[in-house]
Amino acid sequence: MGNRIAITGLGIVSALGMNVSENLDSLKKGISGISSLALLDSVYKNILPVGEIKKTDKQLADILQITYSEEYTRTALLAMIAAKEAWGVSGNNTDRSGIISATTVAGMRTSEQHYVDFLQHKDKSHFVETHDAGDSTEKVADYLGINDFVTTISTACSSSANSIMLGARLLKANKLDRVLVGGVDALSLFTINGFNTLMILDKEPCRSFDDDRAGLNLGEAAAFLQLVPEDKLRKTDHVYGYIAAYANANDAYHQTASSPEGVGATLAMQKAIDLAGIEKSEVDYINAHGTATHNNDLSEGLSIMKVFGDEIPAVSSTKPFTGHTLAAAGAVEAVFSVLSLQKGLIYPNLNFSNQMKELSFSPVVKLLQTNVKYVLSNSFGFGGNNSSIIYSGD
Amino acid sequence: MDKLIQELKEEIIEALNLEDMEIDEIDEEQALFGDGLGLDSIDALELIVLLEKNYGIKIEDPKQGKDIFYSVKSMAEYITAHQK
Amino acid sequence: MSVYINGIGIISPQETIDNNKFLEKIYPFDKDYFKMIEPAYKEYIAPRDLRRMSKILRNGIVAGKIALKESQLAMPQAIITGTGLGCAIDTEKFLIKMIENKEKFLTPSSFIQSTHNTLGGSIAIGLGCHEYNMTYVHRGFSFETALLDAQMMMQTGEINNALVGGFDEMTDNHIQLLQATEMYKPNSGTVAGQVSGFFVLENEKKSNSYAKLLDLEMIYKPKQTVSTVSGRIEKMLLDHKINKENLVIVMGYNGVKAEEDVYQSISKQLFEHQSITHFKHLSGESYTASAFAFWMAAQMLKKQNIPQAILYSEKRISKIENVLIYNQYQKTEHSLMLLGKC
Repeated sequence: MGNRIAITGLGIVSALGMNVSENLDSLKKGISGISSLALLDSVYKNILPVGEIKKTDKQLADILQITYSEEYTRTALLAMIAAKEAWGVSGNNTDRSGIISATTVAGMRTSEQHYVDFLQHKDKSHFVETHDAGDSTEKVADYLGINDFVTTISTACSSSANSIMLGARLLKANKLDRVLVGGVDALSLFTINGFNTLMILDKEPCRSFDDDRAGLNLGEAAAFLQLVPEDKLRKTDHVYGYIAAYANANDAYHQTASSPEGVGATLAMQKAIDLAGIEKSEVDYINAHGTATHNNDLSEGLSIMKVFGDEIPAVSSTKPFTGHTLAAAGAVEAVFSVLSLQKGLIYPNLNFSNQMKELSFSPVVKLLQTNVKYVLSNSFGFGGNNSSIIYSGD
Repeated sequence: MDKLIQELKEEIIEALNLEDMEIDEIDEEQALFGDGLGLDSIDALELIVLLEKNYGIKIEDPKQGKDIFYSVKSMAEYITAHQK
Repeated sequence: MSVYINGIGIISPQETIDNNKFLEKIYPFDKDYFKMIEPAYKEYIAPRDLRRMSKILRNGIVAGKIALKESQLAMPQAIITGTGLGCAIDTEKFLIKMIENKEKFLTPSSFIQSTHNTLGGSIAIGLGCHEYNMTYVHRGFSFETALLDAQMMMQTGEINNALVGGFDEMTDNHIQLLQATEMYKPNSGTVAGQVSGFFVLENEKKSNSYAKLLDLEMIYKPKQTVSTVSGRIEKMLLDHKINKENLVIVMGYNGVKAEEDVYQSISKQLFEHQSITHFKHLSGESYTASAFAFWMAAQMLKKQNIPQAILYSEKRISKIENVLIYNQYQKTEHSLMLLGKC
């Protein structure tokens, strides 16, 4: 197998909870984090449900034990909490350490609040410093003292799956000894309104892979994983699982929609399975992208059928738990996938009632306790970006 | 009706950035999507907003758009029938 | 294994679109920031596709097409882009409309084109390219990470070639935000610019190769800037056994005193006998200005010529064997790129 990439730390903050154990607890109990928007003033407040983290920015700063100031956007604060949990103390004295984060709208949550003042009075322009995608990554890097490699990825909703890939590649190329990979996005008026113009937001809690699905719910989250190549593991490292393989392919069909037959998705899944050197029947669980839009679930479902044929493994989407957390989604679902391997759990696809006419399978609807050796996690995004990662238990 | 059709053509050219097109280049019975004018699903969403903003008509289900936006003429007929 | 630059397409505030020319005529900046010299888009992009595209997409697509055509590569095995701000105009358009209309009557076009990977995705759609597609968005490391990723993937044998680009655009609103900061303060600070530079990188040398990329390094917030950076430069030159006699330096002089002091100190310490060149007086400052420097280095190596307009301090040189680019963004992201003659 060569030098495998071990996962030695997990960290997450989502609508399900402020750390790994709170998230796992909600997943096991089947309690969704979808609710009404409370901390952001929008005309869609009581119309569009979201996966919101019910902590103000000040409360987030308190959790981090830092003095709250406008220098820290909500995006940065969420990233810092999840990154801190994943990095733990083990990473502090390593030789060459790096961070790769991901975000789609970066500091937009802050920028959109001040932009009116700027347009009208040409003042309050300080938000320009926290507007771009690099800001939150550097805040995390400085907070944890990671400085040998710092970068950020933005490939829409597949962003943090791609950070995991770049992290693994850097370790394999021996550029780093240890790397923190993940992503973050805070809820913003920009994304709520943006997705609303596409008419793909459900007014009800989202129903992934349901015949009557009517769109997605947006969410906010940050999630990170700590990666170390097997030959650099220290005695103090706890190994949660391994990255068995990854693949990134492009649908090259439309700027936002997936091709009806899921060309990119099929390629990504097939390539990941081939690279992992496993039989497709060895995949125990597919944590689907499963946004609950009409287009995604159809295209993803058909490509799962194409890749797996008659032997379709257990499939579920955890988006009905967290909402679609955009750039964070790949890392959120990576954390869930690793927990699935560790605890032998397959999570239910909440809110499901009717099988899609076009598909030969239904998602798992009840929590399953079983032996899980390989999990395939899909992350797809605007721009035709399709990424699939396979996680393995040992 | 003719006035509405003219008006719609102007609005479509503006909303969809059909910079190079003249009003009389759009036939009111010509299909707007696919082989006709070549519009796509994003244009359909733009047209939904156009109806709401300029004519106060709200379309909740984008799938409905397929028939309404078949041509400029079908759009005009829908507006006439539904405008309050 | 070496990485060769086999095709270039670059749109910038200078006349860079024609690869046969090399800064023969210089265009100064015009009011507030450097504007692009725009190509005739219709020669490259079908009108049906053009209608929804903002300038940044048009420029990137044209630059990508020119680079691919020159290298005669029909289908790249990876499309990797780097951008600091992404599609700034579409982002701003949607944001302003959302605020002005109080979240009502919004349309999707500018939203779907506001993502940082819109350009990478559009190039893939245009080519029908189902391969690896990635976008890096980290300030002064954006273009550099894209290059590094391509280089690593070629070294591990994942790919044999890639289309790699760095792009950013400036907007009339964004420049006002920037000018309120110390770095871009009118008169004492730097001048913003924009570049869209695409490069075909391949693991084999061809008759039309410009240069090879020998090494690349990113240094984040060094504790002692001058000593750390100069130490890393010395190590890089030593690792590749570079003869300093045939070396030309490109530095990111941008008019900001604190940054210029670093360039001065390093020049004094390491490069007293080398020609130093600069470029931000031609491209303007941006997160991906280094794509312009990368183009300049490739051209110098291929054409064996240092245009007068880029000379910062001149020393005699008989043959240009190597070019070292040292750039920084706001004393935070420092990057080194070492290129060699083919």
